[in-house]
Amino acid sequence: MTPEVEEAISELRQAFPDSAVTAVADAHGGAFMTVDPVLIGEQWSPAETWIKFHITFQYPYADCYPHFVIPELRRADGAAPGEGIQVGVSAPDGQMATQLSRRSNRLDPSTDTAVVKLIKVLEWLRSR
Amino acid sequence: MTQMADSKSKTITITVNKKAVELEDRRVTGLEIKQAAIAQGVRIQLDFQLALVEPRGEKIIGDKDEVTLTKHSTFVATAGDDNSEA
Repeated sequence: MTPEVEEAISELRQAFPDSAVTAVADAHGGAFMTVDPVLIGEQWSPAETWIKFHITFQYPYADCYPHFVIPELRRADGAAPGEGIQVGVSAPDGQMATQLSRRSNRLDPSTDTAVVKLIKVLEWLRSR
Repeated sequence: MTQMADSKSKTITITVNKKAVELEDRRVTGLEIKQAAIAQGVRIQLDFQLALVEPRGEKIIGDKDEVTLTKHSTFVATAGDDNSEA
């Protein structure tokens, strides 16, 4: 893994001390990440999930996008998940998942860290 | 002299996107932090998402959220994300 990817992994472990943060190296210097568990709010069923995403070798100049959560994610009120959420997709490791498509179109490599991106995605999901 | 010293002591310097930003009050909202940062040359927009850097990671600070600043307060402001089909 590149030094930048390793630093991102270290920051993720520091930011989520109560979760298992797992990194699996890809073939190019990046890493497939899993953070388990994360809390996403009582409006979702279940209210807790794992979350997966890819930090590519181009990090921090490439976005960490998309993110994936459990395939059985549903809204507690039975409503449709809403925009930016696609069910029945495969995560990078081949596991069935629900995709969270939140793209950082104005990426700033100096501030848009993998930790900041993950926290923003979780904040977005919790606010829906 | 004492009044001037008291007035000056209210000013606090924090960090936003690695740049020093001065504020007059220690209890401020997320919006006030962004407004001060922009006024002092930090290259962000008002619609950027603000996060407080804490020992165990970052915490999102909304525009109406109030925070008590210290000289160690460090913030990251990033552009918001957009829904997209991968």
